[in-house]
Amino acid sequence: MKKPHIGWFLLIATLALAPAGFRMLTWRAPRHADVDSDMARAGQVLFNHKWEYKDALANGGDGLGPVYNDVSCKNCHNQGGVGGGGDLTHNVTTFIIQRKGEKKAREGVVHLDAVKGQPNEMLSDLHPDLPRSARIDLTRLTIIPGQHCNVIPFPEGIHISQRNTPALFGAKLIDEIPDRDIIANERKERLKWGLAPSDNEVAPVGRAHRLADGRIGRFGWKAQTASLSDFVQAACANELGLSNPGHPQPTPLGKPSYQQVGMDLTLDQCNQITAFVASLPRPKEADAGTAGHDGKKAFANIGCANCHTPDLGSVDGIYSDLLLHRMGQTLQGGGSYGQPPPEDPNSRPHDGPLADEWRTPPLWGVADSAPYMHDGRAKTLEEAVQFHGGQAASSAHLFAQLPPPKRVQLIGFLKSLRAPRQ
Amino acid sequence: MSGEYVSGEWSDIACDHSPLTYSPLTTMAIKFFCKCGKKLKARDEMAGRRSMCPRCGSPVGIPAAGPTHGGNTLGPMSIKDRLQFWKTHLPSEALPKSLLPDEPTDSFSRDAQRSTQPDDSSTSSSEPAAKSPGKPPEKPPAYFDAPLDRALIRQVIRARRSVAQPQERRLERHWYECLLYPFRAWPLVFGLSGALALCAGLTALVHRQTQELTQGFSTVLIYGLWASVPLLILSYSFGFLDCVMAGGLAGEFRHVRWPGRKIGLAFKSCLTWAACFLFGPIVPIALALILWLQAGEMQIIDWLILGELVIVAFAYWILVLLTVHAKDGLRHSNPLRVTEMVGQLGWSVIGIALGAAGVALIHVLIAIAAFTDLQRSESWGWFALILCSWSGMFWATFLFRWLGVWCRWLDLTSPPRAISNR
Repeated sequence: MKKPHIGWFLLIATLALAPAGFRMLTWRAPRHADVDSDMARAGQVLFNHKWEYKDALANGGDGLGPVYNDVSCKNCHNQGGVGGGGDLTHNVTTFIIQRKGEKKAREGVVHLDAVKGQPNEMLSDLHPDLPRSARIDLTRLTIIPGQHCNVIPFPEGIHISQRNTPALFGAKLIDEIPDRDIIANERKERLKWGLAPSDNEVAPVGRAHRLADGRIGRFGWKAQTASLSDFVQAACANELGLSNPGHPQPTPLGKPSYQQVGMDLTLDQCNQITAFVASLPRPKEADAGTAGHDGKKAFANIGCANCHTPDLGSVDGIYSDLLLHRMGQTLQGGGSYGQPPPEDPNSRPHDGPLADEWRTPPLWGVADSAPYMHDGRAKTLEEAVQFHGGQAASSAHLFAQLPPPKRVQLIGFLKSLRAPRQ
Repeated sequence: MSGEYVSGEWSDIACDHSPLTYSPLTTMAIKFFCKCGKKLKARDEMAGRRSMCPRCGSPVGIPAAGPTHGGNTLGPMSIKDRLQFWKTHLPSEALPKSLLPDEPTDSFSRDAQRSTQPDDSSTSSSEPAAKSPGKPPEKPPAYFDAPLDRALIRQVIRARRSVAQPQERRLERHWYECLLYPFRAWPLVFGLSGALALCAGLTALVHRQTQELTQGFSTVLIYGLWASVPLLILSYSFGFLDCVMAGGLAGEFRHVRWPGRKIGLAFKSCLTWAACFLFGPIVPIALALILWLQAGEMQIIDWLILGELVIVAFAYWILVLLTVHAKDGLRHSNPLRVTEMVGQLGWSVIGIALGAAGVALIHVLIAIAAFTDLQRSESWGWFALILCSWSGMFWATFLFRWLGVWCRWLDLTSPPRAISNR
């Protein structure tokens, strides 16, 4: 028998491997666009501007309101510099109403204030049994370990929670992370934990939030927004009542018939604010010496780094996988950030986040973003670690078991993650 | 486990069929009289044996089924005849020491038994017990009065059981006959695959709890101790499949071989499989892994490429293993030898390997689904995992037997060391 030539083997091997090679060539490289400094400067003006009803910058729209949480972006995003996180007084109250027989829940925000002539929003607008105020103390909404809590009974189908203002530092880098890097993390976690599904409550396996249009959510406590531009537009509408091409302004709960007048922000103005947010520097890890180094090791050893992955794609020091993780019964919070935009009927179905699912918040700059957790229930970093539940419960448990010096080192490491100096 | 299962050491075993076999189609066809006058009947296969009369308790010799013609056929075998036969036709290790031949033995075969004339020495104690059924003999044969050595009978029965085989067993002549092989080896197929499934499932469940362990020496130790159990079972599974293929290559059909107590043989098999994986299949598998991790949202084309890579990897792995076993040495795992082997077996072997790899891929997908379900604490996961493991081992046993026997048909083994020392 004639011996087959090795060339046959090489030919078959090439044919077998070529499709994968060609496919990889089609992968898009991460985009790194420079920020237009003029746009950023113009955006800074809008970011710091104190908006008024029928504001001159509102292009004929009704300007601030009719309902809003504050009058300027800067008022909330101010810790550690412009663009930082906000304190407890700037918490946003969100609600979710799931009535019997209705497939889709109604979600939104109960705003703190309203312009003159418009009714203030109150929780009682959602249900008469709820208090007649726009916001109540956090201890009346949820049980916080170590604090005296007097939680109000929620009417059936209604859940209310609060959101703390997140810091915006390094948002451009998060925006530029390719979807496939986030999905790669999702798959790595599944592989690492024996193919455990993301809806398990033990292993730290997260899931990317796939939006209705197929994009991957990465901004917001529930990863409900896919891009920085969308995030800015949603915030302008929900927090300041500035309608824009990407997001309508909310109508007052007590006056559903309110008619929107014009558009408060043009697309250019939205892009300017986005450019300013994108120009904010990224937080950097301060040198905390040997103790900080040991603390970082302890951080990894007790499993914090399972979800707060130090690097994501090409972004180093982010300390987040940007995935949704189940955080247990004590950390429930329904309602996303504002009413989601109408779904494209041609888009594929998607699963929204569960009440106890939260995006892993990036820890860069965490030292300057107190209070902590989604509603600011943790006053200190130590409390923040201990309040973790669900998929992170084991890490919280291990943290509690660490010897005090190790705990101090770990907290010392977290305190080295500071906001950038501007 | 029955005497059919032999541990992995190979030795020369006579391949002749035993003349003393059972047939499922038995009738009580032999009728005869005891010397006390009692009417007795016996099954066909009891012809030539001794039994006890239920009335008087004396030993009775069971005559042949049909009428005998003087001088044409042998009479029933006496104890002495049978001892003589087993001494000459059984491997010495299968016989009790007391039965080992201490004198030159004659050849004795079924054909000889049928065709040769009885000589004085062999028939001196085996006179036909009855010339025709239903008619009492005028004078009982001489051996009726011989003392019954029960211990000797027990030894003979034990020796015969240890090698008793179905009458029609022979080397497979068609591929579909190899389908029977996994059934012959069912205790090993079911036992090993069941243990493998159980171990893999438990490992996945235990693994997610290990996040409670801090990284350090103790963790490594616990992981190592735990990993040794699945590794052992995996090694035995590989060892068993190796023995299946080696058996086919050697033309062995009497016994089902496995590593037995030779743990070293099992681990050697595991290393062989690992080495064969590293010598080629690792390339497409690594590419598939990169593609799966980094592709982002998988499109249909990605799934197709992924499936193609996995199938190519499995198929090549099968061919490398076949080459290594047929040529008896890991040095033959290079592509040149594999191509040569394919050339010798014909290109159809590629089709068979691809088909087998496709079946393997289906099993992998089912196993992934089962693992996912298992993590949700649903019993379906266990059921699917065990069923998938059983099915996988069944088809692998069939495939390895088929490939081994195929090489045997074509005489492609490396004669001097094909299986003799494995």
